Amino acid sequence: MRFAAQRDPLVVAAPQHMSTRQVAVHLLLRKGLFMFGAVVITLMILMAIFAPLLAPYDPNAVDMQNSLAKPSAQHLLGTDNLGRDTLSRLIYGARTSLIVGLAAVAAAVILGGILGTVAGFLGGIVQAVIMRIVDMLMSIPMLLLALTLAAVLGGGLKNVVIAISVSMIPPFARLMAAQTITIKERDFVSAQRSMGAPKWRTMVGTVMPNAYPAVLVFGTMQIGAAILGEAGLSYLGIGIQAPTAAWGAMVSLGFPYLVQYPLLSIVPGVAVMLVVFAFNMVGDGLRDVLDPRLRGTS
Amino acid sequence: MSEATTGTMSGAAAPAAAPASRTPILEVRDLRVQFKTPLGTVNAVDGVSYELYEDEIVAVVGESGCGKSATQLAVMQLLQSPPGRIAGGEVVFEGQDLLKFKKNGPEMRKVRGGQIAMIFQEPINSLNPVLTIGDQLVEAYELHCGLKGQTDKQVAIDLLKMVGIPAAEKRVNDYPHQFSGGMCQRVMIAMGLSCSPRILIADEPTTALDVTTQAQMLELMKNLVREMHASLVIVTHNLGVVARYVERIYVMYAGRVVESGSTKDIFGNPRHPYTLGLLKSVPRLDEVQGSRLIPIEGMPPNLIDMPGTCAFLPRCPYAVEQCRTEPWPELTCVGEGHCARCYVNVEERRS
Amino acid sequence: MSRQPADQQEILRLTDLAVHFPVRRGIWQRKMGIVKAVDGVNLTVKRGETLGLVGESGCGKTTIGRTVIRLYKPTSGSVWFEGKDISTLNERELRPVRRRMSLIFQDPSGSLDPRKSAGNIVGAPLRIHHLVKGRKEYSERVEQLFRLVGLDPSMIDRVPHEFSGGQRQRIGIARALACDPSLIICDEPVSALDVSMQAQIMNLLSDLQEGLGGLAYIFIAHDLSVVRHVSDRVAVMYLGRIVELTESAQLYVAPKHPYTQALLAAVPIPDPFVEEAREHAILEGEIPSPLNPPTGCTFHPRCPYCTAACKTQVPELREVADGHYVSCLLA
Repeated sequence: MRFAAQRDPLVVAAPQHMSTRQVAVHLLLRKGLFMFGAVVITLMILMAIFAPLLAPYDPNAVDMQNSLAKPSAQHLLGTDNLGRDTLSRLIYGARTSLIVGLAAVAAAVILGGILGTVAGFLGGIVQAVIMRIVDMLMSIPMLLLALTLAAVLGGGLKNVVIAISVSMIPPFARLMAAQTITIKERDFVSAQRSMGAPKWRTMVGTVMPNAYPAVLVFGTMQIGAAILGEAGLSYLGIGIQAPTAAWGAMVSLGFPYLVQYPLLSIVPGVAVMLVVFAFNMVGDGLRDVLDPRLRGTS
Repeated sequence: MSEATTGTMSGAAAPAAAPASRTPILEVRDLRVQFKTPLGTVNAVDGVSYELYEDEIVAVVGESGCGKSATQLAVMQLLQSPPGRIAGGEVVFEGQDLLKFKKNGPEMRKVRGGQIAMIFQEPINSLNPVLTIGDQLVEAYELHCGLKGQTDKQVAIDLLKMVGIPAAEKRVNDYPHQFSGGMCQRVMIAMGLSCSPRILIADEPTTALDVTTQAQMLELMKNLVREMHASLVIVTHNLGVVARYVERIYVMYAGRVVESGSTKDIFGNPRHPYTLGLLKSVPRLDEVQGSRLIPIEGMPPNLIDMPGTCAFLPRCPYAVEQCRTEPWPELTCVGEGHCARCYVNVEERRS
Repeated sequence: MSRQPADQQEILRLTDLAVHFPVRRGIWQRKMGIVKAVDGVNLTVKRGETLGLVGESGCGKTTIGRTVIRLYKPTSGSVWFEGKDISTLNERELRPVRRRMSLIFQDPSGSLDPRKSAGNIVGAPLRIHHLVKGRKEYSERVEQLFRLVGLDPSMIDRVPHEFSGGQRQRIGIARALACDPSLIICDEPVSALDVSMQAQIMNLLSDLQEGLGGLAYIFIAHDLSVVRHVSDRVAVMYLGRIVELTESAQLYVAPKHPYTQALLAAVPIPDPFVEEAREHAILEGEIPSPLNPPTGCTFHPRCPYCTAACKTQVPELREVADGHYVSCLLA
């Protein structure tokens, strides 16, 4: 064949060829806010894992003599109304927040993702039924839904995760259905059909991988929302049960002392804010990088 | 246009004396446009010079990424910035350097649309979907002519009639989606010509259209421009369109003009290997059945990290040692108004 | 391109093919009308030949291509492929058929899964149809396909956007060739490419046809010069019907249908010396809405030779000379 001996023109044109992944990493490293978010999240994960080593005190050790202490050399962030060390509770609280955030979003991604893909791909009656149920769920505010579920199921870590993840299924299902419908119309899906590929194979092998970046980005941002949700439920007293350390519960606990001792609410509040912001920034960065067309300048 | 009216060029950038009777109405000198990308700076337009005389139809020809559109956008100061940036050069229109004007200042806005109009490839994207065609025509007319609130629908109807839209009185109240692609392009032409500009720049005006519509559109533009004594710049990759409608051609490759001259010179006696390659690689309707195309092998260069040597060198079948060792040659004239950027005498080498 | 196919055997036959799409509007998705995208088309494709389908947007050429490979279901009429009527088969029954024919798309980027490597894309048909045994044979075959279309096998692991437009179209061609099909439907394979790339791809397609004996193409494009260059026979379409069908040499020399004549006149020839001498008769008007096509001959409102009969009588596609079919009352 005449073209068989042709050189590789791309390599000729660009001697320092970078693979897709290399370019993605290269771009991410240059994004300040993404890096900030990534550092915050990494620190939080390390904090959660090594909590027993990092925390100066037992987070649940009551010391009434020392209640509501101001920050000092012994208690860097002071103590709460029961004399528990705020810093230690903050460190242990990271565990709760991370578990709730990750577990709730993971469950919502899987369930919502499956519902959305099936609805979008099969279309017709299946889509109508699934999407109307999802729309109904969506019309209930997320916190209200979680609140109702938590009230029915009771508090505790497991039920908080269930409540938050159920309330998060609708947006994921909607997103995934929209993605699937768009991708389904693209030529490369028609190409699959024209090659004789079975439906399920196209759905799992072609549609899902192309929808995942959007879901990953949205999911990353939703982790922040889930942590916020846990904080909200705990603040309202139907979330994580005492004495387990959780940031939302800590904000709630500090509320009666807000005027004379604001630090008690501000410290966990700032922690929640920081983490939610961090997850949003990482999601933002991922969105920019996961779109292969954004790099198509060469 | 006769041979005498096309300008002659000597050396690289500066166009030499045109026939005394005519001075160019637009002169672009050493224009440079850069795009910042994550992978580096792209020199999309790298020292382009050209001139445009009154009453002529000129084409800028090249493949995607050669900088032909970026040049025109820079002239109009319509480059998206960032990532685009005009890095140097002059655009002299009626004695004034347009690049000295503020991008959205009053002087530039007066020139843009009023004296130099531009129409684009996707007409439907250039129209506002929520306003009627008539409203948009009136708005464009008032904007370009510097009038405010003094015109009425009759102007729009006249403009629609000018570009040959049937039942203009009725259609003036339609919305863009009720118009076909060809009709939208007619509306764009009407908008562009509403204030009798000196220059109309058409950026791939017919690429999105069908062949019969394309022919209608080019015929229309040609006739209107002739009537108004305006000049027309057609930016295109379609060599057929060029051969049929255009008097002079600038061939661009990798951000530079590689050959310029009258249409007959370029087609009859191409002096740059790229021009020659383009001509041999397009199928012709009148070709002998079974003839084979001779493609330009390889691919256009990556505009980041351009070598100092001729950008066409890796694809050039006529390359000599000089091409490998010396920088990209300057645009040198080989005949009356016919210039090429090449060390090799392609004509001799072909025979 | 092979002018005299060794084997004149028929590979595809479309008989009275019609593909209609309902147009639905509003919340209740009420049927507002029918677009007759393809309306009564008869065609045959012989083994090893290239049949060109040309026409302006909305003429139904793409619909025919996609109906042949059964991405659309015919409303009526039949599609005979290799001696079998495939117009009513279901997806499962179509699998062996789709091994024997494949599709090349217009947009080389849109038709390649952006998340898969080039090798993975080219090898997909092999995996779907279980055509190779074991990893070694698979990768050998994929590499062979890469070389066949002029791609360096060392680029197997790159993703589509790392290739140029022309190279992406080569990937699409390699994929179409993977199962050794007897028919490839090329749907505007070069119109999204730059001029210099178009010639490379057109030459590649003709080289492949020469090298792999018996491969037939349906070559769909709006560019008459491109279609004429690659095709043995050309069918000109207007509003869902074939108006003229003939050898491509005849098409330029002796076009019979007024629409073909107008189309030819509208295509500029890249040669100013020729253009100077040509007559530039411009076809007026626009293609009518397919929702509400004209009566009689659908071309009559734009036809310079229109007679009273043209407005009421639907012309048949008739053979006016040897192998030259025209659907015009005046021909």
